[in-house]
Amino acid sequence: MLRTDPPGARRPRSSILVREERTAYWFLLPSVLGTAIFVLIPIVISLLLGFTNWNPMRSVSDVSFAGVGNFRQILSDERVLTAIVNNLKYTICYVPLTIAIALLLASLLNKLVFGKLPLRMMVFMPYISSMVSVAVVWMILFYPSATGPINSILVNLFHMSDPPKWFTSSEYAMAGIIIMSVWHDMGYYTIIILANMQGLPAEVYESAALDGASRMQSFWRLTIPMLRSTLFLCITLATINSFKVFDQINIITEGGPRYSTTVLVQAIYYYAFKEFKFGYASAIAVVLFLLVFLVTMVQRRIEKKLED
Amino acid sequence: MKQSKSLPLRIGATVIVAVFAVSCIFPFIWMLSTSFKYEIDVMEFPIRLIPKNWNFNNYAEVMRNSNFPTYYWNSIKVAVISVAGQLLVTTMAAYAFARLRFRGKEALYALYLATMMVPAQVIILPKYLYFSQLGLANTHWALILPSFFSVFGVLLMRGAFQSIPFELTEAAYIDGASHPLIYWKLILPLAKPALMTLVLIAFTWSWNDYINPLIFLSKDAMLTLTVGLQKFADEASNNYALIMAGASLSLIPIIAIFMTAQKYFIESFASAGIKG
Repeated sequence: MLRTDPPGARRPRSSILVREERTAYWFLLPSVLGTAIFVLIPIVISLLLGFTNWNPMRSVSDVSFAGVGNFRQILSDERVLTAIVNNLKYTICYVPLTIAIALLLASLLNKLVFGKLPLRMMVFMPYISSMVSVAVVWMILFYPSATGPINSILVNLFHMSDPPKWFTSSEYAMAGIIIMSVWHDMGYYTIIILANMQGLPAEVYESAALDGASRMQSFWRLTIPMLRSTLFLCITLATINSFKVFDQINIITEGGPRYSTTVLVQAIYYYAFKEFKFGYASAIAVVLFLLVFLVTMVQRRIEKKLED
Repeated sequence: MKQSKSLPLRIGATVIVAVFAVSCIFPFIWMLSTSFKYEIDVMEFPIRLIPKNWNFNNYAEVMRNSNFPTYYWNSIKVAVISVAGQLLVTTMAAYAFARLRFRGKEALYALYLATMMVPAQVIILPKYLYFSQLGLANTHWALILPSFFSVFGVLLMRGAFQSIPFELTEAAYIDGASHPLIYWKLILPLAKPALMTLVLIAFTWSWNDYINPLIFLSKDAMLTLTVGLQKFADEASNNYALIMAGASLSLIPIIAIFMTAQKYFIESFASAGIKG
């Protein structure tokens, strides 16, 4: 095969090349067709829907053009505005906690611990479990009265007289959601960081030790800089995922109490399937997309700077 | 000379990680233990991980009084067909991207990458409208079909196929083997580890998927385990021992697979993460 074609070379297309191209299109056909139908067209519809009033319970002829009305309404909608604030709260707590714990666990698991494999397995177990299954467990672990499993520990071992009411109080519900989300996801970031740590060159550490560097010094001066792009990838992944948080919230609190755990995807779900305002819900979806897009762009910028 | 790995340091590190590891599995152990308790013993303190009075009826009751057997079957069916279809469709596209020349390759690849930026939750409403029109709502096809066209799968397999030496397939091509034959007989067998990675990740995603069945399925007999468990937990309201039996049942298959193939699981998720 003629892989060595100089780029942009103009010469008659050989019959081999024509045949190869035809084969390629056949190989691509199912994927391209499906991606167009199930991803690309929905993206376009999603954008268009945001500018309409669409109620799936009524006939298509009732659909009207709303202009930017939906977007204007968002600006004065307490549910959506609270959702954005809650999303930010969640992200600000969830991302640093998850990545810090993952970095700690990965660096200890890398060379120091006894029983690395069973420990790694235990740490990763929550991640492969469905959010629904573990959410119903955490709901009971965080039982709001003093007899709840976690609260009974707080009361009896830590002598807390008035333990948090967790998912039934608007003050602590988000904290409970964040704790269980960090618990669920930290193993994932741990194994990504760990896998990259194992690929770091041993010689660098040996020569640092030879120069009298302490373990702490080589961690901050060598490990962290060499893992820069991995850590950056993890932070980006965690941030984007935190904007999409939904499962555990819909199962445990459905956004309550009093909007305290309402997030954007929850708001989309609520307006679409409880109030059947598909147009308005799509406008919120566009806002979600813009936020994720913004994070991705900022990430690309920083990544470019890191490379230079 | 290496940095000293003194025994106290190693013990200290092990203790710290063990504390996290135990917190990671404690909810599972508590769940399992509670599923064998009588309701009256659920909230006891000190927490007893080995029940004082064993109750073996919870599981039988879950199986009898709910649609769990159906949910199981639905989850298995959806996951198996999704994974099989996804393997075929994504490896075919990846073969073209990685091994063939065609016009528009860069543009198409850029388009695929761009779609990865759009959260699945953003396009779920148009998909719902669509599927209702096509008569796919309330069928398992609403979950299965979209999963075939995983862009993530194409990118993952493209990377794997690119790392297979071109000399290997060129020799076969000169000997007269066609591309479909090379794809099926050479590339796929050589990319087995990557295929395994895709199978494990796609299976886990399908098995744990919540938002899609929540939105696309409403008939009880169609539900998969995730939404089925939520429904069951809502109906059992305060019978926590029973809910824990249901949660255990929903987790057993995936945890059993994970325990037996934990090395592959962890390596799969780690390598897919590295590639982003």
